Amino acid sequence: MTQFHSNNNAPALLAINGLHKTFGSADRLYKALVDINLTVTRGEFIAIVGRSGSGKSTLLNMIAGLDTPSNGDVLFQGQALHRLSENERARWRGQHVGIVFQFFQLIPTLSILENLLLAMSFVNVVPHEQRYPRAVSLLTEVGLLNHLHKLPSALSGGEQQRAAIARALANDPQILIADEPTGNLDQHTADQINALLASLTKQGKTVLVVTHDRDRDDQYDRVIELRDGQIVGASRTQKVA
Amino acid sequence: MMQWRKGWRDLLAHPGRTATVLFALVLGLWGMGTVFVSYVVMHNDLNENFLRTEPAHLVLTSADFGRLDIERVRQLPGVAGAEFRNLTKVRIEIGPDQWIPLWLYSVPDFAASQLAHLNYQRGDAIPPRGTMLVERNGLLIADIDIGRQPRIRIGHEVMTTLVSGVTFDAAQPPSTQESFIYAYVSPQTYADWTGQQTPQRLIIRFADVASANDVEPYQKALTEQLSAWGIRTQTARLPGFEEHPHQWQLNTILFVVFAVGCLMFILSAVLVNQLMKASLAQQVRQIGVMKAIGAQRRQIITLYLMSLLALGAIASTLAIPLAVLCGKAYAQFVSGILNFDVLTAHLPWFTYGVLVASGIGMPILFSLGTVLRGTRISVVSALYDYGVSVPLTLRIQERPARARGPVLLQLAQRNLRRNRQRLGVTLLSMALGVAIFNTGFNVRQSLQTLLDDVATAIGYDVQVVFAQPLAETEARALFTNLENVKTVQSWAGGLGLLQSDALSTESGVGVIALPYDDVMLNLPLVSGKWLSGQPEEVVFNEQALKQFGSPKVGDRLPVTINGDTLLLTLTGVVKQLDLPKIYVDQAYFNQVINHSGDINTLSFQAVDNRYDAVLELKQQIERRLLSSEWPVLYVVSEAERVKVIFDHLNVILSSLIFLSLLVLVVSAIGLASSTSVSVMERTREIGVMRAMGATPTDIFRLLTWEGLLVSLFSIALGLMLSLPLSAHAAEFFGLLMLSEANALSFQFSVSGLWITLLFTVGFGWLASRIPAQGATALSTRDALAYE
Repeated sequence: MTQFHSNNNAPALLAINGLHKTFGSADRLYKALVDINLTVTRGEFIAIVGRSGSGKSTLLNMIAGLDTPSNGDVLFQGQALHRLSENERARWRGQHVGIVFQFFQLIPTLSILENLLLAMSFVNVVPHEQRYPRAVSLLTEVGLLNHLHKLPSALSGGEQQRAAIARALANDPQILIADEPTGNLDQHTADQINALLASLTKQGKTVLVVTHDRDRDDQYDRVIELRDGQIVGASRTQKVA
Repeated sequence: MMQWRKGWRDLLAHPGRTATVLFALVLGLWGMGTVFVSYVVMHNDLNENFLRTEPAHLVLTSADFGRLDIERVRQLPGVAGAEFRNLTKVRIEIGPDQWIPLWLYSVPDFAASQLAHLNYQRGDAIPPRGTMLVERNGLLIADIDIGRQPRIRIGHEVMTTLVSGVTFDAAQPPSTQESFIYAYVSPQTYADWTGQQTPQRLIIRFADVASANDVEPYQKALTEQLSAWGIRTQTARLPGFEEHPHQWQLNTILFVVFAVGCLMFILSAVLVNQLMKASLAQQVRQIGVMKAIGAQRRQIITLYLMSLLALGAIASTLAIPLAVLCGKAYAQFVSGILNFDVLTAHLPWFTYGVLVASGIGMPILFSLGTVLRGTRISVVSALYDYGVSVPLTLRIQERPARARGPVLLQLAQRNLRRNRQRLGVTLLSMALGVAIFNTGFNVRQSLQTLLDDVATAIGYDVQVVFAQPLAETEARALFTNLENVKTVQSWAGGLGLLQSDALSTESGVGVIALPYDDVMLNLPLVSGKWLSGQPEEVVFNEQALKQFGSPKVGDRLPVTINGDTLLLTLTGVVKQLDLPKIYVDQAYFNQVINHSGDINTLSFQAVDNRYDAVLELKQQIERRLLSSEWPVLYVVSEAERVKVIFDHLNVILSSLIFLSLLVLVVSAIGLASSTSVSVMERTREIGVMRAMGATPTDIFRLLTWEGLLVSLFSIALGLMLSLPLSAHAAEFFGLLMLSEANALSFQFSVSGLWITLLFTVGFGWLASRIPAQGATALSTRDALAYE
């Protein structure tokens, strides 16, 4: 069994033990993840790489509590996620995880400011009177102060992704998970988004990014490579400042 | 707040879809609300009109009433009111050589009647001597408004009268249906016109009676008391207890209205449910995103329920005032036909309560299941949902290419099978609409067949009914040398209500004494045989049979006519659309009871029985009668008699067909919504097809094929459903409108079939055309980018 654990001595924020995920029926079983073991600590910037169908997104879904394992555990600060009910997982996710999607997935009928406010209203951890200033502050941080009241469709791809990152941060989560956040963006915008994600680790956030792009390996603390549902390599990189 | 905003914005983001849902809701609520409001308004009002007149419980006739002090009757225990109210049935001229019956009442006190009150309408409230008030419904069939001077014929005298006022007698059946006029005069005028100086008819109302059974002991006590005072009563009649004579019509209309209202409610609920399902299907990915950013299921459910609440509130705001307006208008329309006043000025609060609860609750109630299911989807499934897919259950039959038919047709039928549940619901609701619409026509056809049977049973073309019996030779002499006459036949007694009054058994069953071999009446036998000319034979119609306690053919029965009791043998039972009637051989009748051989009715068979020729014969007869001294009740052609029966029932059947059409329209809107939802779901797919080279015409044809296929399947299913439904409906309406003895038999309306086909295919075409136009209006680029 290969162990891919964090090298620092900080307590594990996230621990994945013997994780398996299979799809389909007994006669047509598809193994999406096979015996994954991984620990993640606070403030890490991790990339999960691999070809299409390697199991990257499935692993991300497990970490985000969007899906449940067929076998094994995903532990968040010692708490097994699969033991939570769907509602408890939703509440947990709202409080501890922020998710950024490849296609942004902003609610198209709400302005970007309202997208943030909606996320806060679902989770209800940010006091009511702090929601608006917090939303404005987050959108300012990602450079969208001038676009607060615009609908997502009025923004460029990069702007939408920055808005999605701001939304993911709305409830001040400890982990930020991004599924191909730059896959749909041009090179320049992708650099900006990656820089933004990297800056979050400095604020103590743990950021997990699924990506195809190996050119930015040096920007991450760790790069975990998946192939056929298994971790085939994990490298600790020397981050470019 | 933010969740409200999301729900609201979702509604605004797809104005077309929101408008479709709103339209369905408004239509369903309007339809259901209209029938509910009209039900609330009408269900009590006809009888309330009737009861407000304080109708008589007992009607007595006697030649001795001139000697009776009415105050003594009023003092008797249990009597709430008593009045002499003479009645004579005469005739009134409503056009050149056109005379119809006039029921002329003498009212002793117009200002303070004790019972059977009249409602003042216009002109004089109390008619001056020599003038009369006419019942308002009569104005719809004759030009007899205030100031008119119609001629009336009383006995052999024709006199010119003056109409001085219009009144409303809520206790009378409508003139429009009966072809009678009702008029009211003072006792002086009555005496002047009829020559009857003394009262001969007494109407009484009792206190503390709850049913006809309660009236009977009072009747017995009263007749005994009258007898003790030396007053001999000739007839005693108990009118239908506290029930308007045409209450049955309203009951039937209310039933139809209620049933159709329920159906419309169900159909629109199905429609809303389908639309919500489709709407939610489009929101799947957003549900996934919301869950991913921390929303709990409860919160998402609340969000969608709030959208539904908003939709319900908007729909209620639009539909409820419309429903109240239309419900009241429909009640007004029916009240006009049945001649009663709408008394419900203000709807009770619960009506609004039910409407608002339906408006708000219907979309929530019928979409809750869909919302619960839609929000149960796992986050991953929701996030990776890419809209409509092909179910694994879709099986494509492999057949040789040449046998497959047009490719668009094939694609259309496969598309329909992609969402089988929706197809099933759409098909079922449309088929239900088709079945009900077609049933309306079939029941109408059943009635038409019944009327044809009536027409077949009647062998005469024109019938003259005299007010009093007269010698047959004299009656016949009056009509010698008439043109276009083949045969003339005479009867004692006759068809209809008035003749039951003229000659009847002690219990009020009409008697018709006619030659046993009479060709003027060919009633179908239910059992036994027709009269054969033997003495002591009697034939009953089914209604009379019931009244006599359902005796068997061959039984010997005592029958009292004009005070003489005969012991007769029941030889046969006939089917007839009339009041209870019994038939005896005229020769035997003349021998044992009618020694003078007097007759009441003359029937004429025409050589040329085309409508115009019969009308001309009728006018010739009227001219002869005018110059004669004989008092006539009415002259009626066979076509008119059939029309009178038809008019009684047509209002109900027309309502049925109109309301059935509404059901079909709602079903068609269901189809339109279903197609438009299906088009919305496949917008991107349509974009792909166009990118592959499909022309807008191809897309248009494909969607039209889909609509037409649903219509055709619905027609097939609906027609199959309509067969048992029509059979049951014919039986049910026959019982409700006519009697057990006159149950309508199932008939299939061929014209109804064509109309159903035309409407359904037309609606189906329209229902797919509108969304198809929307689909082709979108550019390929926009269709491909559609979320």
